[in-house]
Amino acid sequence: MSPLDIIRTSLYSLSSNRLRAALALLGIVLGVCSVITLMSIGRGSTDRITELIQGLGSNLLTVVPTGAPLTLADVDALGDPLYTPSIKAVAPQIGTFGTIHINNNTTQAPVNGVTPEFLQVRNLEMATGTFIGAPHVESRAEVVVLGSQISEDLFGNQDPTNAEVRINGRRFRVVGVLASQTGFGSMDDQALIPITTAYYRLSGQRIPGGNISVEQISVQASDVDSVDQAIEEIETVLRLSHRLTDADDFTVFNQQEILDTFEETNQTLVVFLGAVAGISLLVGGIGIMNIMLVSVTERTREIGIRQAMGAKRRDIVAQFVTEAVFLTFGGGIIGVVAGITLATVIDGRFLIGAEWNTRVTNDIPLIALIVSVAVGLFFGIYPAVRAARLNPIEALRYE
Amino acid sequence: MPATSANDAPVIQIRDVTKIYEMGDGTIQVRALDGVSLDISDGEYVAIMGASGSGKSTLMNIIGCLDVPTQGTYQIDGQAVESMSNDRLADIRSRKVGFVFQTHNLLPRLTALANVELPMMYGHWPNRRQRAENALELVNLADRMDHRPTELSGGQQQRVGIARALVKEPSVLLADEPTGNLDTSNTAEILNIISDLNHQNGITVIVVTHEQDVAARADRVITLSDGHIIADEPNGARSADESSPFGGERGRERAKRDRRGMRVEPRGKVDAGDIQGSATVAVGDHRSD
Repeated sequence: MSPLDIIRTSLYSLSSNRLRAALALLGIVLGVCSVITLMSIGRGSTDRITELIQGLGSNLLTVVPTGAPLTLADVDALGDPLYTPSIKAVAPQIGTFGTIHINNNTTQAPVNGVTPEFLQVRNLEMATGTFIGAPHVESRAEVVVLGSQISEDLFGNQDPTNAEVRINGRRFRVVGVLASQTGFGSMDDQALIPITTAYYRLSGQRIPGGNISVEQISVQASDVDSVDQAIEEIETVLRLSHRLTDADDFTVFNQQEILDTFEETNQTLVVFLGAVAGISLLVGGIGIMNIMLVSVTERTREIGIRQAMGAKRRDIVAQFVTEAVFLTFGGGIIGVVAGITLATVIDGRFLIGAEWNTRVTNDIPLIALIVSVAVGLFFGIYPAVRAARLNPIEALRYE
Repeated sequence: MPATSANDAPVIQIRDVTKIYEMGDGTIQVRALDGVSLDISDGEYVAIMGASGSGKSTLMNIIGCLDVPTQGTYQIDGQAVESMSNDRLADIRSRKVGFVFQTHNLLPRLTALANVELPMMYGHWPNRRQRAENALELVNLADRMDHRPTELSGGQQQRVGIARALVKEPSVLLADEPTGNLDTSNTAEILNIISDLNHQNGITVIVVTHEQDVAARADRVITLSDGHIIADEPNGARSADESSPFGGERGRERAKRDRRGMRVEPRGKVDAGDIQGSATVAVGDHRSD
């Protein structure tokens, strides 16, 4: 039997019961559609996370103390281009928690002590006013830069520049408001003050030698390619200044590493979502098998006639397997179209309280189609073999 | 085209064929055929007669390579069939046997032409459409090629069935109660076509029937009973009365009764056989299924 005959025969058989073929198809359509939609959502969320993390700058490194404290002396050492040529900027940070209030409005927020470099290192932008300047740090000035959310909470739509707020009872003058920024490390709900002010005026802790201890140091490498170089320089400088001979008493976090970890986690999520959707495809496949078994029983006489006309077992198998594959392939194509449409429609929309991001990559429909054909082959073979094993004499007698 | 003279080697050569069916768990054995030997030459027109359960269906299935004998040998066109695999049997069916069924067995959604093309799909035949058209012309259905079976009369459907059996020029045309579902005029039409194919085109014809007037057309009538050949005689006069194992009057009587039975129950074969079986129990040479 030539391939063309097999295809023609299968199409003839499918067309003889259109409603049933359509219903069997539906299972595959839904399966493929959900595979494509869920995988696109997975890809989309990966993209979104990547975008958010990269918003911080992929050349951003973070140093935190794990033993001895990090001090402003360490910050100065790291900022010396003689020792750290791959480092562009260094921004130390002290975090405290404060109660900010003006008149009767009160809000609780993290209050960070920072230096002017913080603006550049963390990719921040001002909405109004200016950022904390070097003179502020030197004079331990009581000035504050508000995150956009805090500004809105306390002042509504008014420009808070030059207004006075109280942080933990102390008066601070607002010098600027940060532009709103989504993503990781967003400063929207935080307030920034000079690091010296935070240390001497708000925080109670002191370390011997009059050095200011910092909670973390953000380091900006000169570019993405010099990140590894920068890490080495940080380690060398800090080990020297801390006079270490064995284990580090600090840890350097690489933004790229965090990104990789996230992507890995998300990739697992994508595969998981795909597998869940794959189950519905499996159910669709079982539906196909069911329909094919019914079809074989119903067409016992036809099979008998074909056998009497000289059809070999492989001809019968080919006919029924091709029918099953047609069903799943057809369902796969419709499912791909439906899935891509659905993924496109929900992209960027807020539904059930979340923003949905989808991305249909070329491999997703391809995989879905291959899988649906494989499902047809897998679930079509058993009914087809049963058809081929019929005894022609009994099949011809079947009513 | 005149009838070709019979070759020396017979088309069908059956030697001591026994077919045993096992029922239940092999505890009950039914000898459907018991030591049957038979030669059929090229160009012959043979009728196989017998009541239900006489073994004629089993013999037909073996001749048609739908089944293989339990014992004995069977050669069709010199090819030994008894030890063939299923696929080889299918191949032999494809090339050597043309089946005509009592219930036509056409595929309902295919046109007459497509039905006739069907057997040529299994085997790589060139010019399928042309051959199918020729076959349909041979049975006078040139003007009905694009009709579906449901749009054709019973006699026309059976003519499509004959065209389908002929189209691959088989070694033997095997007709199983070809007129069992037809009324008198259609029966005559179908029998005329089969006779013409035999006489004018030299096709070897084997008709399995229990009707005297169908068997009367054949050159040779083989009668089976209880799995044995009880009569194998030429039908020179083509007279039902002469060769009837039942005797003239009774044979005609039975034929009438059968047709009457079939008019009541048009689906035919089984019902007619039952009527026949019950009617002939008194005769004592039949076994009921």
